[in-house]
Amino acid sequence: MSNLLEVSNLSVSYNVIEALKNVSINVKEGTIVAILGANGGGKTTLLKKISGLIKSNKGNIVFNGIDITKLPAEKVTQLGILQSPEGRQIFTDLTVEENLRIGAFTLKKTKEFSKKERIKVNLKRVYKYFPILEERKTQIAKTLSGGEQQMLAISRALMASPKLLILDEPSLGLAPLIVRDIFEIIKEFKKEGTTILIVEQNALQTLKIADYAYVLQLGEVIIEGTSKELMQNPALVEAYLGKKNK
Amino acid sequence: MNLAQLIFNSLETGSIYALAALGVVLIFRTSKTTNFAQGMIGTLNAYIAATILMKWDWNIWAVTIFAIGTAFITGIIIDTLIMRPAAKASAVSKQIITLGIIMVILGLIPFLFGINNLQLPHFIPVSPDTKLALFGASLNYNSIFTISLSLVLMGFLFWFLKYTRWGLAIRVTASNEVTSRLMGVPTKSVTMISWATAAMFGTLAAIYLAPGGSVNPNMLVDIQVNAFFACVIGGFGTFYGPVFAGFMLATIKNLSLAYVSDEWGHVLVYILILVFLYFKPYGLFGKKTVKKV
Amino acid sequence: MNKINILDKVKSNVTNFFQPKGVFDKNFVKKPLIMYLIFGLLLLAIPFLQEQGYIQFYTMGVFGMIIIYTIVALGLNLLLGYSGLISLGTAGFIGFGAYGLPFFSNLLGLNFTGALIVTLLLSALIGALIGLFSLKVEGVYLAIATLFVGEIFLEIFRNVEWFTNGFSGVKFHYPHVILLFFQLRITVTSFILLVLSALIVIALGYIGFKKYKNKQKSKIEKKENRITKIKSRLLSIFKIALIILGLMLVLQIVLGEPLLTFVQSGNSITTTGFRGYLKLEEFDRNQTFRFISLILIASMFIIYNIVNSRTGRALMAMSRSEHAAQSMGISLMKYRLVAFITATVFATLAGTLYVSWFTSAYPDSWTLGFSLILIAVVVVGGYKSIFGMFLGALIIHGIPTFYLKEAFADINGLPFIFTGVLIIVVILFYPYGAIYLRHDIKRLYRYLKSKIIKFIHLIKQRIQKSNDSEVNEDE
Repeated sequence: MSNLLEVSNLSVSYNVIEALKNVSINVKEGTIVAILGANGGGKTTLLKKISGLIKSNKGNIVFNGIDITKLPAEKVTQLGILQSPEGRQIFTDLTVEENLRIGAFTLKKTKEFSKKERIKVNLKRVYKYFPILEERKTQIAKTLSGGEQQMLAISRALMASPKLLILDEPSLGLAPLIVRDIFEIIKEFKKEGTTILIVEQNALQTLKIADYAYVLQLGEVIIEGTSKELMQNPALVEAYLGKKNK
Repeated sequence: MNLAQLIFNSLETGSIYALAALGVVLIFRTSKTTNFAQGMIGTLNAYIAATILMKWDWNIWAVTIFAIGTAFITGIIIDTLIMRPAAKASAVSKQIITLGIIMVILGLIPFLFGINNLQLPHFIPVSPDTKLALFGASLNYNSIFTISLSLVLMGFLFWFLKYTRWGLAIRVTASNEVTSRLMGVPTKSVTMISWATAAMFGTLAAIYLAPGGSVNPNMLVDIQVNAFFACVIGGFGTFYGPVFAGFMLATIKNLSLAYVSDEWGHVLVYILILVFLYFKPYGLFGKKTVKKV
Repeated sequence: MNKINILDKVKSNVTNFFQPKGVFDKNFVKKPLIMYLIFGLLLLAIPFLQEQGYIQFYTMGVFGMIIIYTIVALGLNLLLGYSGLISLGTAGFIGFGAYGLPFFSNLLGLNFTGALIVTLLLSALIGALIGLFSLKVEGVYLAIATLFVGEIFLEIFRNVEWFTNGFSGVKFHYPHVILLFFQLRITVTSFILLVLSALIVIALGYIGFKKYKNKQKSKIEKKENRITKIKSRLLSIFKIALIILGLMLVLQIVLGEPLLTFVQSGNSITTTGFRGYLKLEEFDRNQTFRFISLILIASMFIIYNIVNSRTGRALMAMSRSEHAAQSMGISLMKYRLVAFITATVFATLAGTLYVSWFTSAYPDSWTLGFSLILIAVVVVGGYKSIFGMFLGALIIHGIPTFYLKEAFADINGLPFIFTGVLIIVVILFYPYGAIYLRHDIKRLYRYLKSKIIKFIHLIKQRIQKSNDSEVNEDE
């Protein structure tokens, strides 16, 4: 399997504060890669940089063979990196279906299907995963519950048939049962062939579904390895992951 | 003046208010600033229209289409050269930049077109033959045309916003710009198109208005102010609110002038609107946006 | 022992007199309050320069307008800069001042001061109403609500003839106020003398401060600090007034006009020195200018005090986050009222000065455009800056009217283009106002200095090297 996303030696700073120092991350095609760590570790900064919302001082990012280090966010998205941002950020005054349709903004027609048909197929697909959204498709998005909003945010990103799906804290503020459901569904995405980069504080649960993981602390990658390695390393779990989950 | 005539006149003024208000709200939602310069941009292009009409002897239809084209370009130029570099400035600073644009255009007008006021004719010549009597009101064809064209344009815009891909793109940019970019929406183009559209609406308002007076630097000041008023009455939260409020404002103002007092009529209406705002601080259709602490 | 003690006491009293705490400081001249006074003296020189023919009649008119702009901007800055609120109705309030003063003075038969007070009180009342209104309505809605207020004023100015005399405008006269110093004719000698005596006071104060500072090292109890602060502030104001009075006394004596010579006439005692001044004589143009300048300086003092008090900090806290400020126990209503009342009263005050200075007012001057220009003064001058307001007024109103109109009289509209471009450029490159230009100038200066030093160093090295090589060649 080849690397879909390669981040090498990335440094980002806000004024004087260095948020990321020499971070290198690889995401292999068809895998789930997790980025773990406590608040202030630089996780969100890394995602913002990958999706082109901020500038970096050093290092580069290559996606699918294309250097995207300096591309603006909308261009990055057009290449197939879709993000479900932290705090969900759904368009509250639009309906559920309109939210989903805007997710498909970058979808292009293929040889077999027209754009409309592809949107239809994708809509069906997300409604299959989250039937509740189909029930509520004409509702204004802000009337949804927190869990439903999270589902909407994930589905919206999925609508573009992304090559790489980025999930920023999908479990934030949700009830454990819903979190379990969402993680189950994320596993399903992988089975369908979507590559996923997931950022989480909820480490143990994330490691269960991830293939490979990085731990970020104060802007640096301090540990990396397959999920199994990380899970079997009790010291690491205790020091960086375990306490958060009690 | 009878009631039917009053309402008809209000419809005409209202359609101009509504067009202008739509431009204001479009820019407010996509660029997060109140554009004070919209009227001036319209005026500039009305000057272009009047000058071409005079110099090259084109007819009013041709110059209108031409001026709408130049308005489109003006909007794009202003957005690209001025507003985009200022994207990170505060809301107030952006408003002041639009003031700067007013000043520049105010200076450019005598420079380019001379100091005399110019004239533009009606679309359909106004004469006793081109009038229609209805419920005791006399409606001239030109006004009917103006009202219908505005309604058609606004209807088209609403259809566009509601049912097309780019319309959706405009609405999401208005709702949350950063996330829109994450969804692949080229928000810069969206903002640019908003500026161009607003400029076209402003220009159209100026061309409607010119035959009643003249093309002069202050021709749209009053319209601009009333467009802002329509926006707060209808609320900045929706696109249809300001349009509705534009027609409403025109009607109420005319009624008040006719039946209350021509000295205090407008003052009374404004005070009533302030009282109304006190009880509905986000306008008729507006909702409170939750503010982060 | 005792004698020495008494001597010491006298000494320290003398020292203390020239050391009103917080005024005479090491960076004495840099103290804002002193800077305002010096600035005031500079402004006072303008009528004098005009009399001498160095400045045109017209230019002084523009300076008057700049001062009026500055006063409005000072009030507006409290809203815009410190509280983060925007007002689009400023022009209306200025117009209200310009129409209210003649109205209350002509129709109600009040004298200048009386009419002024009534106008300002009414304006404060409307300001308070807007302040209350602002508790409910916020953001762009509030901004446009203030535009409504402005338009209400404008409609009244245009249509209500008994108040404003419609489109023919109102006429007024220069003010007449019972104030001692404005009617003083300033001549070359007296002006130089004034400056000299000011310098002497400054020098004395500086010496006094040095002595005081040595004493200062002994402990001051913290508990009493606050009370002493207030006391000393009051005292210092009193002392400054005393110093100025003393100066004027010196001046008047030098001018040969005896002041406070008591003359017995019948049963009452009158003072010849005051005699001429107690009459309600109308000012002439120069005196009016001095009057306006003095009000500007007073306004600067007032704003400085508001801004550097609890109120100012509360306003700034509110502009960052209303909710957070409220949770710290800051009463939103109180400070909103302070901000809006100050802004409206200052605008109205400026309006009364406008009509006193230009002696007429017309309804179409008070439009949204004018309000916007005043906001531009604040933004260009710099939020949260007091001198910046004058700088902003000078840039926005002064430069185009003074310079460009004459230099490019044949190109219409150039002043407007200049102002417009300037506004845009300043905001793009100096988002905190043109007053911050000085930082860049300083930086540039330092940069150039370091470059020049390096350059000189380089040249020296080169010369050294070439000398060396020459020496080598010689060898």
